[in-house]
Amino acid sequence: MTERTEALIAELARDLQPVRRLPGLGGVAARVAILALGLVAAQLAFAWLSNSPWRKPAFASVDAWTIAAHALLAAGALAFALGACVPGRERLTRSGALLVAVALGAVVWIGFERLAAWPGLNALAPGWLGTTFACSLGAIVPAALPALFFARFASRAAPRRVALALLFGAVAPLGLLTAPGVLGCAYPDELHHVLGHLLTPLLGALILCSIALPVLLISRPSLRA
Amino acid sequence: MSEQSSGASHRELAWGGLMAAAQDGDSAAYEALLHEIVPALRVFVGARLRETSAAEDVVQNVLLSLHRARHTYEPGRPFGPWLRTIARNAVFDAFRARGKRAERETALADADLIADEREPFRADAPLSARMTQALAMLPRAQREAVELIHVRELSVAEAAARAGVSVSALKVRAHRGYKALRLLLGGRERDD
Repeated sequence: MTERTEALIAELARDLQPVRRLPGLGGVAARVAILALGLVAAQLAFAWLSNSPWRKPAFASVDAWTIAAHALLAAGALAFALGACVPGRERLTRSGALLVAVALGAVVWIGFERLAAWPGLNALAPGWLGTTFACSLGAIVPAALPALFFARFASRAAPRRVALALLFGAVAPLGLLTAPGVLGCAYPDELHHVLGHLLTPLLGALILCSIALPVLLISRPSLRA
Repeated sequence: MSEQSSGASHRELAWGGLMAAAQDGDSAAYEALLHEIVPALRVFVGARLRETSAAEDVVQNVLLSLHRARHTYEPGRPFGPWLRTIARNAVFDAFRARGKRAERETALADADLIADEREPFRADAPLSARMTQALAMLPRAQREAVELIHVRELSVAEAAARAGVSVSALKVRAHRGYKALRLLLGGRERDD
């Protein structure tokens, strides 16, 4: 062993302080999922109490496929994000990436199906953009809470690719929180479905990540390396 | 073969126990763990990097990364994959740093660095007034790198840890500092 390595080991041992261990990944996953599903339940309960029109999607309808693809995306993104936060969990990361790839394939397929049936810009009703924003925000705003919880965990774990971990950590709750919007939205336009619902987990994650990342990098400069 | 693998898993189990103790602040367990993993790290890194001097720097980087990431180890989980990921990341960092260095500074060779580390200053010799002035004229980062290595006599890895940068970055800073010092001191000599 070289003298310098020897000296480094001695210094690291001298420098050693007790550390607070990271919580187990299973526990973090459960907390993010429970938080997101709790918010979904709250939104559905609110819609039910306020007599909002919401539909039970027919089996194998576009809405049902959308909810299923988003649920798959949520599961994969959560596995990927958690695996990316801790060294030695490559198998979890790879499984998550595989699920995300399958889910994205489904999202792209649904998107093409919807846009193929779209009659064009002339068919857009006035105010469609506002409605689309409202539908997207209906998922993004509540998803900020579980995404923030994950960001807090990620800031402690200090992953190598912090932006990627945050992005997937935000996709996970968004994938679940789009369900009430899909169920409650009666707007018939296909473009609205694609932009306001189908792509919301991805667009919303980009928005949440672009807010959380600078805050995290400023508050934890060590993450910049 | 199965005896070998069971020996390795038994060893990694023991390392996991030492790491869990280290997380609770047990310095002796930590020091024992680091001493035990260094030969394995040297094999792991050496198989991926050909240069022996660079490999030792990477091993030191792995130890520093392990120190920073020690809270992420989950007791009860296999220690080997956790350590290997940290080591693999350090090797990737070394490759990336080498690529960047080759792009920016083609003249920066390891041989120069080693020579520079030994040549310009001796810790036992007092810093002359001219040297002190020249040091003061360096940018802060370069001055810090030169001082940590040659005045405080820290190892490159220790100096890097103290400065909060990677070993490669510290070497680059120190190298630039030496070049600037040589220019400053050489220029004055010619003026004289």
